[in-house]
Amino acid sequence: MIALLKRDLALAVRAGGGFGLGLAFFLIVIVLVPLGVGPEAALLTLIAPGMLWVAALLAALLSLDRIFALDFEDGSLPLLATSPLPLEGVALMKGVAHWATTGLPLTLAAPALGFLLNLSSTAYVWLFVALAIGTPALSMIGTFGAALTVGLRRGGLLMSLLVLPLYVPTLIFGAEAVRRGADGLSTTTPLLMLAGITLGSFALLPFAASAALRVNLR
Amino acid sequence: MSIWEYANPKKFITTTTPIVPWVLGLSIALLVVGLTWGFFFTPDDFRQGSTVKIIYLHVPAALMAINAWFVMLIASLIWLVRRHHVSALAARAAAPVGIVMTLIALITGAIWGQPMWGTWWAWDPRLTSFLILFLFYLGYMALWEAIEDSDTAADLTSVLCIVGSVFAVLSRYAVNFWNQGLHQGTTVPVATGERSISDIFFVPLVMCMVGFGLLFLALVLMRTATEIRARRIKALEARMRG
Amino acid sequence: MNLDFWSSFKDFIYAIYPPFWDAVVAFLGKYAVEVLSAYFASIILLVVIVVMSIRRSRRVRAQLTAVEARKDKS
Repeated sequence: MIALLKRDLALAVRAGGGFGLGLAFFLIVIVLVPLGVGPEAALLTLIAPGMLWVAALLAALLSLDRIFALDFEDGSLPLLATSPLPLEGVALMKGVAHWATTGLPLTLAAPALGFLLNLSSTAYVWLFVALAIGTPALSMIGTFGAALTVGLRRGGLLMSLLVLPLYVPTLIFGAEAVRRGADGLSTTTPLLMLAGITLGSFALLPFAASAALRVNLR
Repeated sequence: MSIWEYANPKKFITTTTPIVPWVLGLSIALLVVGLTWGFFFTPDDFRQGSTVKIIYLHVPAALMAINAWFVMLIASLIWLVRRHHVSALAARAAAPVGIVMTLIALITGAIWGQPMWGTWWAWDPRLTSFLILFLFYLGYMALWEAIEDSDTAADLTSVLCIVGSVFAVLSRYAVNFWNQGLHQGTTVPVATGERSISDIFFVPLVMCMVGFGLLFLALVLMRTATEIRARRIKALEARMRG
Repeated sequence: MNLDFWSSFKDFIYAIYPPFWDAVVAFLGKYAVEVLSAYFASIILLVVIVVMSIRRSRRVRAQLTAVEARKDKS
């Protein structure tokens, strides 16, 4: 399973692997926000937590259809399915690989971009923590969505329609954690809920994803 | 005489086709009586004025919007476990009805809220949850449309429905957390049997709730039969071609 | 902003047929337009889904008999 993980990471980092794209997209969206809502500093501070999270969601979404699509196209997915490796494990590793190539860089980059949106100084730490806890959930939920639509050509838009509503709880708790951090309030509850969602996703969604993969590979 | 006999598509059609018109007729009768009673013969609320009359549409529609998803969930589980096509097709059939109920709940909710809360759309937890439910319905229906093979579609949409249900419940709690909300508490805690609205409103409301429920039933039975026939057409055409 | 659009919409509705409207407003009070539009929208949606379901049912039933007739012939 680790070998699978390493392989996916290597593929993603190579040229054409889309590694930097998610990050670039994240940056672009964050730049667009003030251009859209106006440069007033107080307003930006208010919306910064939410917008950073929304941008992270969208950036995570971008690289989702690559998770299985490439393997599906070149025929390696059926091989993986019939290998001694349990398909649930494959789904899990794909989720982890997606996080390592998208969620993790986002989490590291976000505080650096927070200042563009005039994020409160007390919020930076919480932004990092919340994203660190929540982005794995985004990857795993996204992996499930990708598994559902792997058989479809041009399934990207449909997958977004399926995955974005599933992202709602993560978004709510994640953004709330950062906002509370910004106001100096206790962030325990939202962070705990976020952790719960991430752990639950990793515990249960590999099974749902592998069921979907099996259906699509029939 | 087990309920599983109706899992046979032919038996389902022959059994339900004669009763659908009756169920539909009864539901429409109940709705007409209930809505007319509620609209014309109940007093205004001293705080909300005549907008309280919207309750006869909003509450039943909202209840059915949730129930429809629940029916889809059960039908999806039955499909995954027992592979009865009627079940999978019933889930597919229920979705459009459910989404219409959700839309009615959203529209009546927004309109009702306008004079009360002063905004066209308030991000109140209940309304927001219904908006999210609307998106879940959309995704479910879109997935059915996108997939060619009917069994594959049934399988994938069933998995989506199950995962979606978990996240829908999670979203409900998240949204409550997110906004403490302007919505009043439940006015009809049917399970507990106590009522925080008086009897004058209660009877026509229950009539409308039953009316909406029967309407949902009639529509789902009708649409499931249609799906069964459509599936048969596809099978016959494939056989004749190949 | 919301109020302006809504108020002009209400004025427009009131202007359409005053005597009827006076009766309606006398009954429903100041929220006449809200209540009526809620009822109107909901009933339309219900009618739409019922009519669409019935029409689709009839169409598919006809299609099925056609296909089955072809099958029996061949």
